[in-house]
Amino acid sequence: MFKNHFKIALRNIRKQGLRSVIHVIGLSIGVAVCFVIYNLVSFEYSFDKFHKDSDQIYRVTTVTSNGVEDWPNPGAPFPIGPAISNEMSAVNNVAQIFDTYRIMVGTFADEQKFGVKQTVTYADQHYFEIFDYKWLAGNKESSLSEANEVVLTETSVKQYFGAIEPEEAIGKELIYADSIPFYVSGVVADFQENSDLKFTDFLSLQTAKSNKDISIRLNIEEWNSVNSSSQTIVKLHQNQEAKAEKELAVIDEKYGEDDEEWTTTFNLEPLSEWHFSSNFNYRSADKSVLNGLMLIGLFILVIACINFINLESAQARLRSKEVGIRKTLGSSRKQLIIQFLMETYVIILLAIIFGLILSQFGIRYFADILPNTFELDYLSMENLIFLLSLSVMVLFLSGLYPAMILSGYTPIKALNNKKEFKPGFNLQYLIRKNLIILQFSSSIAFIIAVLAINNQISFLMNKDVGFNKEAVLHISTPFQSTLDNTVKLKNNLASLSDVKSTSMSSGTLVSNSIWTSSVEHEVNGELVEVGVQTKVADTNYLALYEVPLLVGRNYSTDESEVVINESALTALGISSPIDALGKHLVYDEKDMTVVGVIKNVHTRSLHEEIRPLLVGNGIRNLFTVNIKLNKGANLASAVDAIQNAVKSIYSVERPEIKFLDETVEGFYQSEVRLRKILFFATIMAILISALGLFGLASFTISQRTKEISIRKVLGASVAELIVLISKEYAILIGIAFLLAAYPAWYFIKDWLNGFQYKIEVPYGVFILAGIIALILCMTIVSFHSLRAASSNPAKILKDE
Amino acid sequence: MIKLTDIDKTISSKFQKEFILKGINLEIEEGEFVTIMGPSGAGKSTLLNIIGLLDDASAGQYLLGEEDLTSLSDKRKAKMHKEHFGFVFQAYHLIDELTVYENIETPLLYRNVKSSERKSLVAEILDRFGMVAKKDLFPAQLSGGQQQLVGVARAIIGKPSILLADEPTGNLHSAQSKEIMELFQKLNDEGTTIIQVTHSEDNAKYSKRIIELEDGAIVKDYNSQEAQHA
Repeated sequence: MFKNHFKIALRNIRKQGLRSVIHVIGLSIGVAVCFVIYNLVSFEYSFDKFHKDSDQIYRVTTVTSNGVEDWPNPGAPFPIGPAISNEMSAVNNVAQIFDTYRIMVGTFADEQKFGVKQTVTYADQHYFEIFDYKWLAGNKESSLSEANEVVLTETSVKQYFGAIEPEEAIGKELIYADSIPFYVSGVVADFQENSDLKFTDFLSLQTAKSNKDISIRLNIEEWNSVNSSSQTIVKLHQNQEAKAEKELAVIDEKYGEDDEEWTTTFNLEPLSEWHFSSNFNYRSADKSVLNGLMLIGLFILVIACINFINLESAQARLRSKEVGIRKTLGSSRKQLIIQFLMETYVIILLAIIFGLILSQFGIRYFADILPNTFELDYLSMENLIFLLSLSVMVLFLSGLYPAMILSGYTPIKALNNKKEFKPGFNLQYLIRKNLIILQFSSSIAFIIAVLAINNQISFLMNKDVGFNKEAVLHISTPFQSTLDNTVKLKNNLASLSDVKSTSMSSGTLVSNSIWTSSVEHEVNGELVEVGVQTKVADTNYLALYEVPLLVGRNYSTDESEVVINESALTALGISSPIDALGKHLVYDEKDMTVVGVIKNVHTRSLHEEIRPLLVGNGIRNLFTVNIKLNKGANLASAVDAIQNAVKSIYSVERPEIKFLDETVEGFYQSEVRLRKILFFATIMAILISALGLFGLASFTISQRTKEISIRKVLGASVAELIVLISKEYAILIGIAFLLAAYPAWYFIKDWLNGFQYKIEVPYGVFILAGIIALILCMTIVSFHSLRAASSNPAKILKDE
Repeated sequence: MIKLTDIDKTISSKFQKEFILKGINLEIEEGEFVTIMGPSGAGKSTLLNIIGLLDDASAGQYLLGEEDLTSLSDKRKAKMHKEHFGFVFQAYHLIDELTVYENIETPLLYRNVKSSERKSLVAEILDRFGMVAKKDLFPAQLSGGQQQLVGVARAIIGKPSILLADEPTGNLHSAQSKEIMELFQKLNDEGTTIIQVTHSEDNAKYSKRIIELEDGAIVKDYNSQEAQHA
């Protein structure tokens, strides 16, 4: 029986080529999209799942709040470690680490031999008790308990000492941070599984405690210092989460240094959440993006299944004779359903094979937005199970309804090929129409969303930011660079022929990072505090960026002079710019005088409002060199020359040279990513819907050839016939448009709310999307109706 | 064996009820060869379809032996089709996607006959009908007569106790008709009950009993051989 069904399935696939191609292409797109999304989602959820008792591992995070805004931080004050250890009975173990972020690694002979590494952390011995590492040499009980000990992973051992046995590495000396000696006390295997614990070198935290310079940076004694690098990890006893939270609240109450303005709250964040909040890999996954992707995958799959249902149920009559015969030969309805489901399954299997090939193209298209370490393992057990489940789901989603219709035919009517025609309401017909409407609604909604997002992105890219960001480059100096070197670099760059001017500053004028502080000013004899964004720079800064000065002058090298922007005027309660000149402000306990007011310029992404800004001269925190090129400068040669200048000063760690406009574009990366994903979803939705309509129109119009021929004989022109046939489809698109408009409008409105500076909801793109869908639909329908309308009526009527 | 009592078949539309069959009382014994005749629209095919459980009667009782078949579930109907009935149609009704061999084999598949037994049964019948050379052809590659032979082979391979034939030779020329009718006669001699619907007097001669229908009612029921002699 199985063989018989299989044979029929294959013969039908061959015989009805167009139908089969449409089904396989449509479903394979659905399969490919779902397959890639499934893999991406399970990849993102796979991080650090493998540790023993991973559900008992948490880290202490801190939320600082001023009542208006919350500042969450994955770090916690250092003294909380010992406090938790002594006072929380729900806690089994506490480990503390301090991520060095970037640190120089070398040997005694050459302190900079291995350059700067970003995978080095200070850790105490408890770290290895909480996280499972496989020890290749040394042991976890004694390693890291003393100062100047380092535990390396295999990769680091190989990098530093070449191919030696792990045991041979024990006792070898390395120099970190140019001067501190460490001796290898253990070697562990690298994690094979996905992990955000990217560390390869573990320096004993004891070293930091006993070294005054480092311990100051760690703020070992300070309860009010929170640094994201300094993290406290706890392992709870089983099922003690609620108790742990209570005990942590007690510690918070006891030690948390709250004042009138600021409150600090400690929380426990489970290990499974680290990958989605803040982690050491600097790439956290976004759950809402993953959820959105899953929704898109489901949409595409459903649209593909709809094609199947529509075309199969429309063509059911072609198979009715077979159903009748089989029933007279003794087939039960169940057996027929099984047969038709099996035929569907053969098509699904073909679709899966093509889908897997397509998914490779999908991966390439999304290469720039997929995580670096993401790859597809087609034959992994998870994927095989997923594909099996998906195929069964698609089977029932798409195959069951047509199979029910087919197997339900009464044999005698089926054999006589009588249409079970009832005047008035026809459920199948209605379902088919509704499904087409649903498909085109989705396509239209996708088109509207993509066009609207595109409009907003081009608005963001092209909006006047208030200063000139063209031909500006910037360099962030290395972590341990001295001011001397920065000055030298700035001067060397200034002497290049392509460079118009240079400036040192705490950051570029427009930047993703922000430095906020508060200034005090006098109102009615009392000092009032106002929050401001602060930038420190040399005196070339504002001129380099061509920031328009409203009144007054630029600040001089006198550190008590500052320039403020228009927003600061409002914040300080000054009505006219001219009134601001000479105004006294207290900043960092020093007196400052406002010497100039600049126009409001955008120093942050357009998601945010322009904040009060304070710019002044200083020598602290000058990490950025800004470069303005001459008009018409040759970019390639200019960049070459700048690179050479950088190389002559920084031989080991070479800072990157970036174009400001590219940096600004980077602010809108997530929007560009969204556009790319939605663009893809749109193309897929349109492709599948168009394919389905093509198949369905081809079939339904071919069913109407007799009617068309009679009308032609009665005098209808080809054009009239095309209008007659197409009208029905145009109405469907109209309904689809109406259904798509509101959800699309809601989505766009909601999305645009994330921006302070945005376009109005672009109603034009609604019309455009409707027109695109209509043209697409009419092209497909006209193609078939033209063929039907131009056929020779004499021949068709004779055949009938 | 077959006993129909007061069988009606009606179609209802909004304002009226139209009788296709009205008050049919009929008994057919095991091993009979019956022909149902009558003008177009008399209800011949409907009667045959009701006997073959392809259609339901609107009223009356249908007994097959001791079993009441008046209203059966689809599942029971499928079972009866498997166990008792073979059908031969005017339009042959072969499955176009299957070869001659596969078409003949299909009823055995629904009867869960083992593969080896299936093979020998199909081989035997192909041999008997002289179609061994054509077993791998598709219906479209055969003449009408050949298709009908396949149709008959398929109808009888499951050894049905009753063979129902609706205008079995309607699409065939006379030589082919003769071949089919002789085959029917042989099957009947071997014990198969045959009920056929036909317009052809020649075909009717092969049967032993003729039932004439008119406007949904039996108007004559007689022994054809006796009638010939009379």
